[in-house]
Amino acid sequence: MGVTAVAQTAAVALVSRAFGLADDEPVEHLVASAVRRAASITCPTTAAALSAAVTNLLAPLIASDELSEVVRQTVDQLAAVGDLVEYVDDTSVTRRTVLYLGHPRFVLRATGDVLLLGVRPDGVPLVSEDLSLAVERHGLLRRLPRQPELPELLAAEGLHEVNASRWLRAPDVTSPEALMAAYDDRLDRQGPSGEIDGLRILDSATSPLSYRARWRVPSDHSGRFVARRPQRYGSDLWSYVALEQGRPTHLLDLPALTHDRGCDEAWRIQAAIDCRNEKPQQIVVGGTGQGRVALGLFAPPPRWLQRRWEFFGNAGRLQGALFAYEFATTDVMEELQFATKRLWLSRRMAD
Amino acid sequence: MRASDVARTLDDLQSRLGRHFQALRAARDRTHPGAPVFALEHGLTPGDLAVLNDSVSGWIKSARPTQRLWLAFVVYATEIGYRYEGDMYWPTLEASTPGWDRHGDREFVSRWFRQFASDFGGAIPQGRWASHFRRICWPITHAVLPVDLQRQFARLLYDYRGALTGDLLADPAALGAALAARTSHTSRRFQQFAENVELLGHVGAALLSTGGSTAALLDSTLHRIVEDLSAEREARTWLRAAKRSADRVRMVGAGRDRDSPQGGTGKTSNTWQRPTAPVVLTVRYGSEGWQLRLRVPDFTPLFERHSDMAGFIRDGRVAVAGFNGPPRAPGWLMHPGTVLRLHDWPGLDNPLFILERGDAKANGLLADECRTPPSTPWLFRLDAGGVGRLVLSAAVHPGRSYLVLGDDLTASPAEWISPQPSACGGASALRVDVPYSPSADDLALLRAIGCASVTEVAVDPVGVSPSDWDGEGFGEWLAGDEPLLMVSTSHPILSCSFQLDETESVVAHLTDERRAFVQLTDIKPGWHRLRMSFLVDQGAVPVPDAALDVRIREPEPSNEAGSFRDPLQIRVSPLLPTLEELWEDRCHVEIGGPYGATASIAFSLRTADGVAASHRFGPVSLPLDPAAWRRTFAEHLRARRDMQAAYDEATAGVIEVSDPELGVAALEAARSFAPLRFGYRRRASGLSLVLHDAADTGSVPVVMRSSFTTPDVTETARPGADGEYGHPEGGLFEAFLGEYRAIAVLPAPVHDLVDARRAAPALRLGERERSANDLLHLVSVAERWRLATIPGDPFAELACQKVRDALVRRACSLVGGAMWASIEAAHARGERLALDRLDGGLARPGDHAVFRQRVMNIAALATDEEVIDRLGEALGPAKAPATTTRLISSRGTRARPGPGSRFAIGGRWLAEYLLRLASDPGSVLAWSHVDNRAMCDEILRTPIALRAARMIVLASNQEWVWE
Repeated sequence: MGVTAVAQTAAVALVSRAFGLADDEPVEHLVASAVRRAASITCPTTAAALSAAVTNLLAPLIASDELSEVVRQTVDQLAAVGDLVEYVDDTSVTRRTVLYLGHPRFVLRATGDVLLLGVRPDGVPLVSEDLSLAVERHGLLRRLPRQPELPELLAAEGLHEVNASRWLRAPDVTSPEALMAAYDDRLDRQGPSGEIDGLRILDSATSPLSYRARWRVPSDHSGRFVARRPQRYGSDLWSYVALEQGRPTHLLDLPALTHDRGCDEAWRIQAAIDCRNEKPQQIVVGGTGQGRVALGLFAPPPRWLQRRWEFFGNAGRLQGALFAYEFATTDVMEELQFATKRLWLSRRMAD
Repeated sequence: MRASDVARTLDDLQSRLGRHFQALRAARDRTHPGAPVFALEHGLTPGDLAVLNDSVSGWIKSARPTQRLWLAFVVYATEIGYRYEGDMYWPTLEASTPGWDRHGDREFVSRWFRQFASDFGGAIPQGRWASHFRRICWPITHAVLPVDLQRQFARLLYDYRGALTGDLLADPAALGAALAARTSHTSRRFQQFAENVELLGHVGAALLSTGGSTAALLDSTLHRIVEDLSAEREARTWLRAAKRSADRVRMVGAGRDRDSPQGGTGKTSNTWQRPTAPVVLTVRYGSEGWQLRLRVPDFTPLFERHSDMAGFIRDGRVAVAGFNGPPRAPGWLMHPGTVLRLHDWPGLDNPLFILERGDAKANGLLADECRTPPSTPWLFRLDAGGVGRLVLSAAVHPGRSYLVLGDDLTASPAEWISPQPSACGGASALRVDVPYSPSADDLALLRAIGCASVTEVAVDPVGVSPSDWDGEGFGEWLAGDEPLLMVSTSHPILSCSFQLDETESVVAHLTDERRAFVQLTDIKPGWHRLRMSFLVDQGAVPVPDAALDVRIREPEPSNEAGSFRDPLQIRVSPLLPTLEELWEDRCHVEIGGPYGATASIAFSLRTADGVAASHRFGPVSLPLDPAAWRRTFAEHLRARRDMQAAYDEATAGVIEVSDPELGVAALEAARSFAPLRFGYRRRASGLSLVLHDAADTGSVPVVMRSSFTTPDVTETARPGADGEYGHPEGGLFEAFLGEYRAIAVLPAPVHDLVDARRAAPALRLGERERSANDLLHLVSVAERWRLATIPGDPFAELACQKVRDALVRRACSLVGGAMWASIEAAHARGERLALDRLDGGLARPGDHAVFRQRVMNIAALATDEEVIDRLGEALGPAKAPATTTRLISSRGTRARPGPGSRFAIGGRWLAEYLLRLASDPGSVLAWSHVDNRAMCDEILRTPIALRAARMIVLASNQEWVWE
């Protein structure tokens, strides 16, 4: 037992090893491991509190202005795949989104390997020491390669199998008009909203190719928009809002029609709005140079799409795209059609 | 086998076993001095064992057990103990040994096992369990790890594998204590096994050993247990993983040593003597302002040192300082992480929890572990989620936000200090946003509101999240962590010197950004202190020394019912309900989950052969409170015929709540495990009762019966030729054997409408005088009908309810007088009773005007949660001071004088007593812990008190369920 002085440069390696990561693993693996560990101790908590805690823990190690954004996105993505479970708590004075630990479970892929999901309390490893040596990290997901009796071994360790079709449940194909009509109907039934402090909207008049630049404080905007509004504590809330000359008249909190997260409904509504405005969001297709094909999006994918692509593909990169996933050539057409039909995307080839 | 062959074989086995156990004792003395020998270590091959079993069976067919062959009988009895289930030792023995009913002798079991202990240093049963199951405790203890406990043991070792150390593996007693402290969510039967801490440790160490001389158990016995345990895949996986962890610990040497019993090398602070984590106090903004909340800590380390505390905490209700509601249910403190809002300021340096049934020692220990901070104000550091965590040191940092809560705060004239609404009665709140560069005036303001100091050096955890962190002087990590810390400052500090406890100090130089990193390595579970000294530039203002209290804890025990971090949880009170308690609504079940989420619920009834009945339904909206669970269980599960049919012979029931997104939470309720109990046997002609006597007191149980028509009259009942109890009209059967008692209801068989009418007969209660004796008698009868085990048959439940309703009406009529009796009679006829009519029976016109009005208001308006408190206020204080337990409840003693002034105890307690008596008198005796005869006297002298309680019960039109 003792205390040891550590050079700042050595600190990253120490932390990586504490998470069971190799020294040369991508920083996103370190961030994801830090989020899972912090969640295992602080959940139930809000995404904002978890993100802030992890950002503070990693700031001395990772010098980046974008660290807090990376951590926030990692929290969102872990909630999307199911390592964390997100629910809206309407019972307190403020509407809060609360994160719980995802139950230890796994999804069996057709190839025989499995996706590991969930976080155990108190930093307890998800699988035993023997299995954990074989865990591979693909983006934010952890996979165990095929081995004899793998599902049975995992079940013995207390992981429940989740049926793949259930985990991948996605919305039915519908038209953008039908989707909008459903939300417009709900919005029409809301009472007057009054002034809303700190409201920001996704401005449909702007280019769908630059998601982050689309966010605006409403000025003279009129119409219906996807919006976020801050709360004193916790993450900004997602909503669908009607504006008249920049003043909100009605507001619908999201999620309103599904059990998805608020952001998942919001991103699909925005895709429908863009399509109806004849500026559909785009999906870009490009080769990876390694016999695979990448699909890129310019807006965040809803949970149901992210899960599917994590399941059938791998997170990758494609120049200009906000998110990209790589697929085998045999799978890519089906994935392209799946996303295009549900988000009304237009296709283009990568430069 | 011929009788002569049997005798010769047993003679041979007797001598062989004698030589074997003698040699084993000698060998054990060499390798593990003092470790016991177990009869299961007989060293017989499966073939030998089959011969022994056949020979003993053959002997018993024609003769009584004989002293000459005692070792053969000890091994035989032990083998039965190895494979029996639940409390069915004797039935298993009888079924395996034809002729036992004629020649068997229970006495030999304990006599010859004692001889085994004396001749060979054999294991001696220990724990409370052993004193209740006087004979069967011997063969079961000598069975080492009976088959029905192996799975749970493997799971326990698996869950604990991360905390294994070299010291623990080398010290079975310490390992046993550590494992026993983590059994709170295992079955009662396993908990009873774990009471023998030494045995638990020996078996655990043996299972985790590499065999040979490292184990204090014969190799062949250990191998056999591992083989049996490995027959099931899950158990095999758990044991393998635990064993590999143990191997790794051995390979790297001693591994992480455990701490001294006090934890750490603590010498300087009282907090260092505490094994339990501090109760986390937090603040959160709610609809009425800032709420003060507490989070229940994990008491496992306390149980490790004081094993009896687990029983007190599991079985007794607990009063919480500052919480205005009723005492929390038994077992509430066994759910670490449970958050409770405190309505009132709980005061300084006060015990937070008081156990209703805890003795002075237990409450003293609990008070030492869990107290409110000793000085005011309380400083909470606010996080990004708006939750404030108590800062023990009361030190603040520039640029950070805090909430200050205290009972004597005054607002200060500064923009960055703002008064806040407080939802904690008796306390006010201030929000403090400390400036980034506080001026001298700012520092003075901070001091004025009680903030200890503004720290100039920040210490922050890096990378791996601590399990608790107050931001200013206390951090907690998990066993196995090697905390990495960053020290940063804006002052001209050149270097820092760090010293962890009494180890050698280390100097770290600050980087250009005025930062230094240090890691605490190989740090033991317990409390530690990291001291920091600072060397500053020449001429700069010196920076005072600082310290960080570090606690290292082991992960909380896993719980299949879900922890507070999981989205789904099944919470029950009592903590480990029996199947009977679950089925008969005698426990509180809550299903926790996110508001608005849904889940499906499955319930299965299991026997030794597998699942006897199972049903899944849903989705059900979450969460489900106890009342909603009661309705759900009755409607979807208890009403099902397949469940009713399977219930009577089921050994366990399992609730499983699941959702593909939220996961799974499961709870198993096993059939009660009591020295004396009734079981049901289903025949074509109907049900009958079997009395299982595992107490072995040497006496014959006395069994009495009461009919459904005269439930307050008892008659002697005798078993039939088959040893079973029955009666064409059913009834309540009560068995007595010394200190033990078993009660069960046997319904009348219902085959047609005539039978159905007979199953719900008219009641005739005997005439009673208006005396304390007769009132108490009615309460005792009600208790009998309340505690009785009920079969799955719905008619039995209806008939019991009818009896209980009649008893409560009779008790209230007896106390209330003629006018009130007419109200009870109208209620029995099903008449609707308006409040005015009830009020008319309360007292003569003009009498008790103020009290009547208050009771009227309660009956008309009070919510379920408020009723007890508000009736307590209306009754007013007692003529004598309330008990200590009541002192920490802020309500109940402040009301104006009322009828309560005629009683020795008033307020809230009296209200609960009266409401129990007025709704479910059978719940009074086990709960009250007072002189009930004196209480009955007082109630008879002040009948308006009970009439008021009964009026509230009748007006509420709800089901009153008492724990």
